[in-house]
Amino acid sequence: MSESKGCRTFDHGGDAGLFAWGPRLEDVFEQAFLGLVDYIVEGQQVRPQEERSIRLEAPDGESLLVEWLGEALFLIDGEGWLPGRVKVKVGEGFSLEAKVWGEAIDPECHWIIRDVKAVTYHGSKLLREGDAWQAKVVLDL
Amino acid sequence: MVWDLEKLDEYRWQIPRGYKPGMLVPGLIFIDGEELANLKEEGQALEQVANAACLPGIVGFAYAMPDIHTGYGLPIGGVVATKLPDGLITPGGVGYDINCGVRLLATPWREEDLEDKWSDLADELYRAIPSGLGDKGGLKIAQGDLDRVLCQGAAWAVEQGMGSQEDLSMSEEEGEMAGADPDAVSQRAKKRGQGQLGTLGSGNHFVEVQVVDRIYREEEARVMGLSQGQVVVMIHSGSRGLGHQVCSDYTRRMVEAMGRYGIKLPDRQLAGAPLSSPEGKRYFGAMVAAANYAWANRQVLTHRVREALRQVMGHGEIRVVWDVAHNIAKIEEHIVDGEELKLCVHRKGATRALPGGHRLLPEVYRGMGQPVLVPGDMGSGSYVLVGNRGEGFASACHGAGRRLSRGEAKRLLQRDEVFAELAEAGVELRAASRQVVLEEAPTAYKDVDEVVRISEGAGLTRQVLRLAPRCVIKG
Repeated sequence: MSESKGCRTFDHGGDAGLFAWGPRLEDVFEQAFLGLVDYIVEGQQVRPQEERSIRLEAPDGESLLVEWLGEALFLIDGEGWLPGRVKVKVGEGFSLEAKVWGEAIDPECHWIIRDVKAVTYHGSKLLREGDAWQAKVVLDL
Repeated sequence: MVWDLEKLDEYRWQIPRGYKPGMLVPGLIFIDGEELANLKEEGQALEQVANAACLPGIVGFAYAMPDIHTGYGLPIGGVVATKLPDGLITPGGVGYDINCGVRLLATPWREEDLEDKWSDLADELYRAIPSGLGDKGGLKIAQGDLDRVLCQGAAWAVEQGMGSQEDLSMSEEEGEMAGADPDAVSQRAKKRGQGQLGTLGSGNHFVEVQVVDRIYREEEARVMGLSQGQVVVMIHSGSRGLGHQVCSDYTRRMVEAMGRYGIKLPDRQLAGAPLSSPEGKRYFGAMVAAANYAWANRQVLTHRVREALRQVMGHGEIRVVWDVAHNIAKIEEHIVDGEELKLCVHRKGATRALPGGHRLLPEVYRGMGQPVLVPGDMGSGSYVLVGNRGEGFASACHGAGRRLSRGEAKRLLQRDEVFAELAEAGVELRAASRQVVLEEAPTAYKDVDEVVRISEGAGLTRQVLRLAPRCVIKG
């Protein structure tokens, strides 16, 4: 974890997981979200042409994380829309408000490299370790 | 983790009930000593079997088939049954790709008929079968029609002229499972499913043209109308985004509902509710709807395969041999400890494998048992087996099982070598994503020969024939 915030993938059986970290809780939500999108499209350029708002509430932190990442999958697979930038504000209890900037998937310049079926609850973690927040989820591929 | 498993015989290993607090039944894994050693080293898949043994209402054993590997919630290859009316139903026991399954088509052509046409056929199939990723290519269906797809499954596609009544009779549940509740499927799930019918998806999904290259049991092969050198087509796909969303939606609801029912489980991914509860009933109705979507999808893919084959080969009857679901929960009757019980059988990465004589089989297969379709990796073979003794709630393996994670495959394998290896094996590969080719390379998978050998050794199935791939279409 040389960078103060970021996201990397790890192996989980035949599947893969995401591990995100950052100084603020908001950072890990943002990093995990962008990390998931990057896992699907691998570094393709996304123009921040349109802004979308997302509000979520969940019974606990891990559920909020899983649901939040599920929003990224729905935007891509359900709306045909690719997120490129994100700003998260974590609220009271287990809630968040976010703004996401991105663009409609254009088959001329975007290509879905991996089909991520879902973000699972299996082994999901959201915790504070020293000065940093960490998040972990397993993906179903 | 020290695993002290009890050896029942060469192919049966038991995780005792005392292994972990909360286990209601023992775990039973159909595997041999060598494969078990690998599992013990990895550890997580066995732990997941023990977790599944804690599901309220579970009966018999928490089973794992010979292709067991680590999943989330239930391991891949897991089979668990809970007793009606109050046993648990869990979306995590079915998986995200509801009714992911395999269909086998028999063509009238022989290997030599396609001698110089393999490449043309691969091109034509690749054109006809959209992956559904990014650039979609699914059927355009109206909102009202989607609800009919969710209720009628493959029968909807046949009604639209994409197949025949004979196709339906050669499918588990005849491609139309009863009990679908389209209103229990969220708008989000429907939105994801709306444009994806008739698409393959990515990852391990494929359409393969194969050749029967070895027959082990002539009589069973004859009953299925298959002979040495015959060209067949295997389709592996599921319920696409619609099914994934149904599982996500209901896992979230079940996580919330568990507290209300006072249920505690070692893994939240196993979250569930009693089948008789409002949450349980609603999930079951939504899951059946997604399963029907998957059957409709395989029927539309069948239609597209037929069109592509006829484009290259001219007219000829292309018949459905069988269609199996390998991620599903079903209400079935089984005898447990001498008592006939109505059960909710969850199969996740496992195939139903009814023994001969079973009333649910179509007449043609009733004598020999249900065909079990086991795809291997894209460079080696796939198998057709038949159900044998009906153990493990009449279940068997569903595939080779991964040896390398996708990350390891990407790190360890070279793309050019994978393509060269496939070319050497005489396989025409067409893939939307070169990345997926690497992750799905033959070396990333366990040896499917071993899996079916163990399945036969354990008496779950009888080997009928082996299929060698010639054209592989991947998303």
